[in-house]
Order: sequence, then C-alpha cells, then structure tokens
Amino acid sequence: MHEAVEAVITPEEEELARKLEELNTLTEMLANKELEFETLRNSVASFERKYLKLVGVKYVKLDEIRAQIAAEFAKANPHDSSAKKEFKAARSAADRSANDFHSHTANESASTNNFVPSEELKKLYRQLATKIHPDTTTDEDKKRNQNNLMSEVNAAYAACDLNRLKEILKGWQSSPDSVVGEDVAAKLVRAIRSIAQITARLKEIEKETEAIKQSEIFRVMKQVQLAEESGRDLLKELAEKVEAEIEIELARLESMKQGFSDGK
Amino acid sequence: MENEGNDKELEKSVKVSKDVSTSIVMRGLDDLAFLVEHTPAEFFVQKGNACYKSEDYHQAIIYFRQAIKLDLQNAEAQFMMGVMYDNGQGVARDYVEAVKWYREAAEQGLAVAQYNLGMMYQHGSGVPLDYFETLRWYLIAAEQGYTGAQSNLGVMYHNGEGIPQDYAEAVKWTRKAAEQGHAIAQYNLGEMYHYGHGVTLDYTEAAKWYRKAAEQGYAHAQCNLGLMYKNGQNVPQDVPRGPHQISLWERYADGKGIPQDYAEAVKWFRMAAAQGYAEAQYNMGVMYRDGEGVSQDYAEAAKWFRKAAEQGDANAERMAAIASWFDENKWYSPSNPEMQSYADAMSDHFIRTTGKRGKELLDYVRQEVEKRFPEKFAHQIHLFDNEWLRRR
Repeated sequence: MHEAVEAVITPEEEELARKLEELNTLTEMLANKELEFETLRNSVASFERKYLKLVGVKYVKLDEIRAQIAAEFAKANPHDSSAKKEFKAARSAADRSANDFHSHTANESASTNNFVPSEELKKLYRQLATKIHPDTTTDEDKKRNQNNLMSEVNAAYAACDLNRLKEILKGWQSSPDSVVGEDVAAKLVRAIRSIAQITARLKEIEKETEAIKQSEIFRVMKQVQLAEESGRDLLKELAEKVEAEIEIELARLESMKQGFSDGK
Repeated sequence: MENEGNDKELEKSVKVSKDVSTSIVMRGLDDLAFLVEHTPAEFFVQKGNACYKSEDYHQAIIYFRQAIKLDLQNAEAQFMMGVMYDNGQGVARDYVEAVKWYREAAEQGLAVAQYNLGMMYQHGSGVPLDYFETLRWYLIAAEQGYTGAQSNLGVMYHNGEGIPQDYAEAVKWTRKAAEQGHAIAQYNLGEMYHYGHGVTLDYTEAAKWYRKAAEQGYAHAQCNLGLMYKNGQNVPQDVPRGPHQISLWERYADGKGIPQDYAEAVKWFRMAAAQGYAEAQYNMGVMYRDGEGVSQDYAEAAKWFRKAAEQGDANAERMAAIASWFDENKWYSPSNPEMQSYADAMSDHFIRTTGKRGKELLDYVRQEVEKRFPEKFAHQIHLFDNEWLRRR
C-alpha cells in the first residue's frame, strides 16, 4: 500500500514541486534584490539631502551673488550691450540654480536623517519582503493589500524604523491572508504566474538600479566615498571651496557697490 | 522692428547662459573632478595663476590670498605673493613683504622661491645684502636641481662674489645647469672654455656651448659665437693654401678651433642685433663697413652703428659719428678734385633726369661716388675716424 501511494504522484504534482522550489528561490532572490535596491535608493537620497544642504545651497548663493555683480556692472555701464547680456545670462543662471535646488528639495521628505541601515534592519526587511512582496501573489485583492503593506515596509526601512518593521511582521503572521489552501492545478497555475511576475520585477529592479547608477548624484556619491577610504572628506572640501568662492565674490560685490557710489 | 530685435537678443542671451550653466549636482561633479586630484587651495592657486597670466593682478592676488587662507602651507601661493610684492603687481612694490613670502615658500622647499630669496639677499632687496645667505639659498635650490640657482652659483664662484673665487666649483655648477638647457649657463660655460677658466682652454667646446645658448636666442651667446667665426679662433691666419688645407680641416675636426666664416659670423650677429644687443649691432656695422660676409654698404653700416650708439656703446659712438658725417655729406668737401668733379657730374645728371633734389639727390651722389672710388671713399672715412679719435 505504501509503495502504491508513492507511485501515484501525478505529473502535475511533480511539476508543482519543481515550480514551488523555483518560486522559493526566486522569492528569496527578489527579497535580496529589493533590499539592495531600497538600500541604494535611500543611500543616494540621503546623500543627496546632505549634498544639497552642504554644497547645493552654496552654489545657489554663489550664482545669486554673481547675478548681483552682473547687475551692478550693467547698472554702472548702461550703454554696454554685452554687460546687459551678461547680466541677463547671470540672472537666469541664478534663477535656474535656485529652481534646481527647490525642485530637488520639494520632493524630499522633511526628514534629514542619515540613512544607515543596521544588519538587523536589513534582515527584517528581507524577511518581510519574502513574505509580503506583492509580486508573490496572484490574487488581486491580496496584491493590493500587500502592495500597501510593502510601501509601509519601504517607508519604515527608509526611516530605519526597526520597531515599525517588527510590528508589520507581527501583524502579518496573524493575518488570515497568509493562510492558503487550493488544489494542485490551481496551485501550479499560481506558481507559474508568480514566477513570471517576479522575473518581470527583477528585470525592473535591474533597470531602476542602472538608472540610479547613471545619475549625477550617484557619481558624486561614489567620488566622495572613494575619497573617504583614503581619509578625505571631499564633500567638506567641496563646500569649503565654494564658500571661499562666495567670499571672493561677496567682497567683489561690496567693492563694486562702494566704488560705484563713490564714483557718483 | 525694434521689439522683434530685442526679443531675439533676449532669446540669444538665454540660450548662451543655458549652455554655460548646468545643474547644481553636475556642478559638484565638475568641481569634484578637480578636488579628487587637488586641494581647494590649489583651485584658487590655479585661478590666481590664470589671472596673473592675463595680467589681471588685482584679481590674482585675491585668489592667492584665498588659497593661503584655506591652506596656510600653500607654498605656490606664498611664492606668487612674493613675486607680486617683488614686482609691484596688484600691490604697491614692497621688497620686505616679498622677502617674507619668498621665505615662507622657500622654507617649505619650493626651489624657485629659494632661488628668488637668494637673489633678494644678493641684491640686498628687502634684506641687508648678505652673500652667505645668498650662497646658502642658492645651494639649497641648486641641490634640488633648480637650474637658475645652479647657474647663479656658478657666477658667484667664478667672480668670487662675496666668497673666495673657485673656478672648479664655478665649472661644476655651471655645467649642471648648462647640461639641463639653461641658456645663460651654457653661455657662461662657453666663456669658461673660451678663456680657460677652470677648464682647459678649448675653442671648439666654447663654440659648442655658445651655439647651444645662441640657438635658444640668447643674444650674448649669438654675438660671441659671431665673433668666434669672424676671428676664426685658434686658426693661423697665414696657413698656406693647397695641400696644407687638408691638415687645417683636420685640426678643426680635432677640436682645436673653429674656422673663420664671415657668413656664419654675420648670421649670428644679425640675430643678436635684431634683439637690440648693442655689441652685435656694432659688429653688424663693422661687417658692412668692411664688406665681410655681406657686400660692403656704408649706409647699412651707418644704420647699425647709429643703433648701437643710441644704446651707449662706446665703439659705436665713434662709428655713429662717421655715420652723421655721411649724413651731413662732409665726405663731399675734402680736397679731392677728381672725386669732387665726379660728384658734381652725377649731381647734374640726377637733377636733369629726375628733377629731384634734397636728400634723394645727396644719397644718389654719395652712392655713385662710393661705387666709382671705393678706396678713396674708405680713405676719407679713415681720415675722419682718426680726426674724431684725436679730438676725443
């Protein structure tokens, strides 16, 4: 009897076993990739906040002073058409820098925290992503629910909020959503669909990762990190450099104002 | 119409600035590309150097000051501050201040600053004249391979300037600089061979080093090389022609001298003369006067003598007197009836055919007389020359 039972495993069941194994591997991979991606995204965003605060704001200031210098010069040389042109160019450059700065800071959350995820945080994220990633389910209702949950997980991860992640995990384990029970054929179809979904998402992550790595801010971050290895704080040096330029331009602006009023 | 024009102007200026400016992140990327290799202070040193080159000294000094503010140890900026105080560029000239900055940079090992500090001591600018300090700083810079200091050290030892004369040391340092291509040192080494100071007298070696400096455009060397060719150094002037000529050339090949070559002499004199070097201008005059390497041309000779005389060359002053003697056409009056009647005939001819008078007439007559009686003409000059010397 015992032998007979083993002999009647259907091809569907065999296929399902294979697919479930593949799905497990892929889900694990997905969780890892999501973790990597979110870590990268948040690191870059965190670096960008730091960059804008330390350096970007200084460029805006520098351009503003230069525009004012050009304005003073144009005012003192009302018949010089190239002075007028230069002023217009300097003015619009300053405005553009200011707009650039505000467009960067507008979509940033008010938080100015430095993104430093602990190993525990990463482990928890991986655990949660494995369980609740919306691409692991094919049920539309569940997917919607898990999508929202995943957004919460991502937000908590971005904020390095370990307690929130723990709460979500606790809530998930007791959720009835995690209880599943269906026949072999349905399970097989679901597994195949999930595999397709996850594969698509993995490709998407790869593309988005590449896009981040192509960005200017990422390249700035890499330079700074590379210099950190040799004990240099490039961001600080950069800020110093621009600040020193501001000092020079400010002095020039002051002496221009002085000179022109003296001249009159 | 006017409005349209203005709109286009505006459009253009906006476009221009768009090309110039980039995002504030991209700006950081550009700046970082520099900062990866350099310090922020070096950025301002580069800015300052660019301004200095374009002679915007006011802005240059602002950048150098900022570089020093960011990095108190920036030797290059300190050195440039010294240079600007030394030359009075962007600031009032102040040798004391120049010495202060040169010293800052020199103590950090910047060879050119050590060299300049040595010069300040040598000339007593901003510090009391002090040959010991001069020697000390030149030696430090020279040991670093700075050719200017090596060359000046050579001169100090050669002339015994504030230190005991030492030809061996003079040759040692001069040669180091000369071999690295320092033109003045090459010239000085040439002179040492020329006169046998610290080395065995060797005209070929002398000519070799003069030539190296001359090819770099150093007027002194061009003139000396010209003189060597003019005089044919160390070659007997009365070597018989014929089979002996072979052995003569062999002597040159042996490095015992250089051959007389007027064309070569003129070539080098001309180069130095064009640079305004009085001695070479005088020699150009001599070559034209004597017709050596060029066809004899007193007017051309006079031109060069006058140029040299304007610079106070004593020999040329005498020659310039001859030149003005030409100009005043005094050569015409002396008692030589044959020359005088020929001159009268030429004068009549010129007036008849051209109707011109004045300077053109005088120049024409002088040329014709000089062509017809070259020896008598030269004799007249000689007589005048003697007269001039006697009156001195």
